[in-house]
Amino acid sequence: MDDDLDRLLGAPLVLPPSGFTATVMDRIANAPTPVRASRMTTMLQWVALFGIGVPAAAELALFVLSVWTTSSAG
Amino acid sequence: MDIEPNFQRIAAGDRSAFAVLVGRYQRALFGFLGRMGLEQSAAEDIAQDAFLRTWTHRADFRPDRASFVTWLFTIARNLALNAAARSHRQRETTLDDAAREIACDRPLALDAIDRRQREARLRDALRALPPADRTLLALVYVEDLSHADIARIEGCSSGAVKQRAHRAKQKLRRLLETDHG
Amino acid sequence: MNVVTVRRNKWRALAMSLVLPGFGQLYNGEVNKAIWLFLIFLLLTGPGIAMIALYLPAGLTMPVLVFSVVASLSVWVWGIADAWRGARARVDYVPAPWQISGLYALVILLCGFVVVPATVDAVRTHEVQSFDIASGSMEPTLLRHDLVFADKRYNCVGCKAVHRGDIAIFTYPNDRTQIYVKRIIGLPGDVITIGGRSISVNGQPLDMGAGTEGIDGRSWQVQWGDPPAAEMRTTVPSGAVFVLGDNRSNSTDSRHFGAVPLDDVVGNVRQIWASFGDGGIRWERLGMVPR
Repeated sequence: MDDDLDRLLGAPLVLPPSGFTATVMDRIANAPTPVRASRMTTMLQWVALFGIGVPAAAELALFVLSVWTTSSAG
Repeated sequence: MDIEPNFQRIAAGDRSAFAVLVGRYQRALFGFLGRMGLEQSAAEDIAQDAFLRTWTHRADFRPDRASFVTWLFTIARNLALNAAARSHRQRETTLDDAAREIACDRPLALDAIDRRQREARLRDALRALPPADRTLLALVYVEDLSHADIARIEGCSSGAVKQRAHRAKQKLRRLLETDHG
Repeated sequence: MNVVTVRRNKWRALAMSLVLPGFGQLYNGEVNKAIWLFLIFLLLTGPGIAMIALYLPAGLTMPVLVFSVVASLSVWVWGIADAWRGARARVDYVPAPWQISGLYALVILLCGFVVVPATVDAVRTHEVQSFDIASGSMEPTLLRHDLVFADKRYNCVGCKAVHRGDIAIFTYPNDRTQIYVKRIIGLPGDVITIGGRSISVNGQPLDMGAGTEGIDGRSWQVQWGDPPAAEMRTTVPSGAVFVLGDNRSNSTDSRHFGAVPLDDVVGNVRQIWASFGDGGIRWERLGMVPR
């Protein structure tokens, strides 16, 4: 059923030009190295996430079960 | 052509190892960009940028084939989508013209028309697909990517890939079957 | 192209979604999906579904609320998986100008520590609250350690009015830190007469024989032990109700502390959702609607 469509899509519509690898390698030779976030910043972000996250997640779990949390009635 | 590059060496910053990767995957990448509905020049720009970004972020990924290749195609996919969104308005006018021309043509079966006309028509049909369907269809025909890889690129589950690919094919078939798709 | 791209951290997206549904999507830049995930979670968990539960027959309260827990947990887990996959796919992400630490902190503080607790409070105060029956004063209708849902849309404007025969939840007048559960026997202005084992309201006896009492078309079981209650005759003051425990010889109620101000009557028992006896769970009582 899909054979003709598969053949149509399987054949490339555009092809790499000759010397494409060389063009890419040329650009790479002049590419800047990206700036990365420092280990300290990353650590701080994780600490903040856990510091806020643990009580927030507990709050959420209590929320899901809030209707099932009983008070005592004599 | 089929020699796998050494990913450990790429991660360590070896340019000649990266040149092997560029050589090995450029054909698949251009095939993908063609199915994204891009013209030759746009495809060349995006392919260059995708390889360049793969290189600059090489230290962020595990040095194995699956992570490098899915990542290369993820970047290419996003760049192609951005390019499509940017040129959307410009292209709409040309597409309308093209559509009008085709509409005036005699309706022909796909097999009967010549290769160039067929390709132009396929490209128009691909461009008429919603972006999500187009990217999925373009990825499915990349032989180096498994369904799990595509799921990773698209940010969905493997089951969703199969379903969406099937639906995208149906849509494309309908577009090709109507005269001025 | 010199666009600065970064890779989204899938573990961070996962952790953020664990903390707040939709938070990981916000990190992935999917603002609309983030908002809807949070809203759906909020409505499924709290006010939306509780409101539905209250409009359905009392026997459906527990199934609907069980569904609510399953549905909201599913939304939560789906959100976590989706944020993980979304972050994994974003290897060359261009962060939006608003994606700054201050905004994330504001969102988590507002949603996690203001909106969510306020919603919990609203549901428990105005919709549904669970109670653990701590005494045997309502036997045989409610046993000790029956866990029940109480309808909090009771005895207020736009809520269900107080009727004779309702099982009411109220604040104990002599110690306002305690909550009591008893049956409403007399409304404001009613004349209550108690003599031996017979009780009448405005001259109409409640006793229907075989330990059954009834009034206004409702009936319920009571139990009397020895000795029978002391004789009394009283008129329920305006703005108050007369309450009795169904376990008539073993209950501290309006015979001892007088009528209960209507202001303090806050809920109406709807359904038993769990019950713990000496021998473990009393399965036969689950889902029971006490009359």
